[in-house]
Amino acid sequence: MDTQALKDSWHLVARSGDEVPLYFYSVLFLMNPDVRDMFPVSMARQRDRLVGALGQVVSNVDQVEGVVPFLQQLGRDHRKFAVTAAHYPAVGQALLATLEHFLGERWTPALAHDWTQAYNLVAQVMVEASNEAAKVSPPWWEAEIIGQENRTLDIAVIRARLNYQYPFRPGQSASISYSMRPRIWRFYSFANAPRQDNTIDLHVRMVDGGALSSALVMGARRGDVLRVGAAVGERLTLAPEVQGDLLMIAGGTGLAPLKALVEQIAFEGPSRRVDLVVGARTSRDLYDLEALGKMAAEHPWLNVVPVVSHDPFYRGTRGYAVDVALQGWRGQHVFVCGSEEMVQATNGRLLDAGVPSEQIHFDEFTSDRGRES
Amino acid sequence: MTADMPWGSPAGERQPLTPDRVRKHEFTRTPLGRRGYSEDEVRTFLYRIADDMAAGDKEKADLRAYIDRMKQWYKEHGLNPEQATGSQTPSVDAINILSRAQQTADAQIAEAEDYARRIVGQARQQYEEMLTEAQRQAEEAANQAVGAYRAGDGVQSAEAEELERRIAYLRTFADVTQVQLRAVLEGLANEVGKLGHVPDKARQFAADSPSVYG
Repeated sequence: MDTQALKDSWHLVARSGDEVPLYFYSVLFLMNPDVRDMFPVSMARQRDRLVGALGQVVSNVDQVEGVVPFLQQLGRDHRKFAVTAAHYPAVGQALLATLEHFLGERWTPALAHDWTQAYNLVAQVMVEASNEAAKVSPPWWEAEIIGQENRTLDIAVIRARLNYQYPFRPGQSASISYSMRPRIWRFYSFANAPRQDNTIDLHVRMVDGGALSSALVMGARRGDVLRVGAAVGERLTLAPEVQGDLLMIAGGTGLAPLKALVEQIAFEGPSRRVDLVVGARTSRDLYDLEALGKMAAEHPWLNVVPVVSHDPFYRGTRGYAVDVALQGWRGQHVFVCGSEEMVQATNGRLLDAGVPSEQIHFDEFTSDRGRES
Repeated sequence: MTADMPWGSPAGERQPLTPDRVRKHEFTRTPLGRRGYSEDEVRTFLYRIADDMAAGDKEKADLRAYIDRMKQWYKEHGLNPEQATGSQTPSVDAINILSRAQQTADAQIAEAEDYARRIVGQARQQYEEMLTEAQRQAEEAANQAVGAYRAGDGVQSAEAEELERRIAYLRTFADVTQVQLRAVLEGLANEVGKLGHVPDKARQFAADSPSVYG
């Protein structure tokens, strides 16, 4: 296989930008109309993701260790969309037709042969990973909502019971979709440590104009069903090498995974002091103080500090969570979760204050602003 | 845009109802002093919808039968209908038409989402401002009440009573704002949600959720 030829031809095709995935999906849907229904109505995000994934594969095509784990994850992840091995040939066909269209004269039999081989390899890795995963877990879990509490105008706490044993660790998240908004997936963090009764808590903030979060906050009712993908993310989990006391900084519903960590420490130890600084815009947005207060009363090692940034009438501590947190930093590991904006600003302040970057733990996506998966 | 169907048009001469016409149907209001729509008119309309649904069901049954006959024909001729649609690449024109349709849909949805985002953002901001103002006034009223109480000698002054009233009013005001905004947000959430799926598969959101669209 001439990997350089693959890369060169891909770069040439990629110059046509959004037209490439647009053409690809049109071919795919015209040749396989039944596949159209597996996608949301709007395809704008989807096109970006396809090009991103293809680019990642093509640019690493000559280094197995760079591309295989990525493809395996992709294959496992596609199970939740009800993708089966039978779908792969159709995608391959549409991909080759797209390359042929955009390369015109340059589409030689040799190049066609190489692309066919490369795609078959990709499909094989993805299908095998998907089959491996099928031996140990369902394609997705179903979780029945057993409680939905609107804590503020735009924040709801949802408790749901999963249909099968669900392995996850505190600090992890999963992509979730809701029967009322089919085919839209967003990441949410679990707000609890695993429980005997197989229930999970989600803290959902309504993103302005966000179809899924709006539906979950405004419309979710007991008995409705969520689809839950496998738990992912290691960056906010408590690794064994993270020893000693902890400092946690939560912004908004970024509290969820940090609360899960506190529960884990309460259940399993080892005992350590935890300072949890809970930031919100106004006192009304401190949506989980009651539960946190109970936890703090129960566990002498836990110190909860609510901080409010935009509420002149708040009688407690005012300002930004990170500034308050830094007053209590004595070399502990720091866990940060909140909106993208909050996490970036907080990390900047921590680094400026001399917190070593290897002691700062944050996730690449947050429960506040789930990425579509 | 109706093509002549070989199996005849449902419901005879009458124009069948479209989902859009059902959604936009206007009922006559009952005479003044009584609320709601004319019951007869609503009843008649429901029967019409029922007729059209029945016609649709009948047509679907006919189509299923037709498909079964086709499949049978393929089988007798040793062909597989699933592959009969051929795997030749569709024409570039067809691809471009579909691509353009997709782009139009994407643009419309993005625009609608953006509009919803701005409306919700504005509503949220207004609500915050109202609430802050209510809080400020309540704070002020409370301070005055404390002052009046301390100045008074245990006698319930009219002034203190007036302040109590004001505080109660402001609390109610804040609650009402929240209820109103919630209704607006629910209506919007409902509309935004509709952007996410193909209409014919749409489930009713919540039959009783208030709508901002009247």
